[in-house]
Amino acid sequence: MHKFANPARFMRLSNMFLPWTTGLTLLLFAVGLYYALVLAPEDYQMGNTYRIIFIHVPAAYMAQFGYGVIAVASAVGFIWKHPLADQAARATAPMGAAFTALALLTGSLWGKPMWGTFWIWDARLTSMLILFFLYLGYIAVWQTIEDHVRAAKIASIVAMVGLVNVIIIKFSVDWWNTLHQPATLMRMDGPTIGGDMLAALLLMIGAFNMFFITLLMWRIQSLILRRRIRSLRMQIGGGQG
Amino acid sequence: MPEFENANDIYILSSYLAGAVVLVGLALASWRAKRQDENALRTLEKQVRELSDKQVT
Repeated sequence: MHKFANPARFMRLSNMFLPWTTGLTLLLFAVGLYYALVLAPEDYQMGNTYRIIFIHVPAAYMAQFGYGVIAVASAVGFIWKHPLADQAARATAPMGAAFTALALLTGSLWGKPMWGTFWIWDARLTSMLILFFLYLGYIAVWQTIEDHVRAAKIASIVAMVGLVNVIIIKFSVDWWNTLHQPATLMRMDGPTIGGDMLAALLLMIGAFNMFFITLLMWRIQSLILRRRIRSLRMQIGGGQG
Repeated sequence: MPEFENANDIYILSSYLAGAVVLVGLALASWRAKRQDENALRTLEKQVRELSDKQVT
């Protein structure tokens, strides 16, 4: 596994994949938005307002997926001292925070017309807000601790402990009585929507996923370059001194 | 395109606008950061080369 996590190899492979993932992201967004805004029919109860889910659900899914990536990468970095794992976790955090903010915002925009309120302190909404604060806390650890080894260790612990909240988010609609509807896609008895609505939702989730992968590669590349910049600065400082 | 003509249209449009702002913002920030790091690295590598040339001469 370490062989594939070599930073130089990662730079080479990611540069090879990036044009393809970028193209696929744009294609999936184009087709997904066409399905979401044109092909998917109007809902018989909610009218066109339900189309908010084509942004809200992928954002909420990516918010949780992003935290899962951070927790797994942190565990790998913490246990096996994997050279790229901490960088991957660190690169994911700002994206995860942005997706969580988007999920909270679009959730509020859904809540007002559907529930009559922008916000309510129910289990799903509150656990999503906690996820947002966990992301901010994780980012703050990296920003405030200068020693990278120590920052990685503390950030890993924050990430792994916070994973409990992702499990709470997933099951909050089953464990507590909430305004938020139960799971639509990930159910034992299959999705509760079908046809073009399901196609639009899956395409948009695919687009958000490819977007995440593309940006993650850019961001890890950036962190690798910064490490190289730091070591060169030290080299120049040593050479001049 | 669906006909948006009731009071809830503002919520649908705001959601898609927020999505666009967040995604484009993230993409631009990541792309810009990578470009800046690449430029900084190129400048430093040039400095290191110049420094080692000086030491040789």
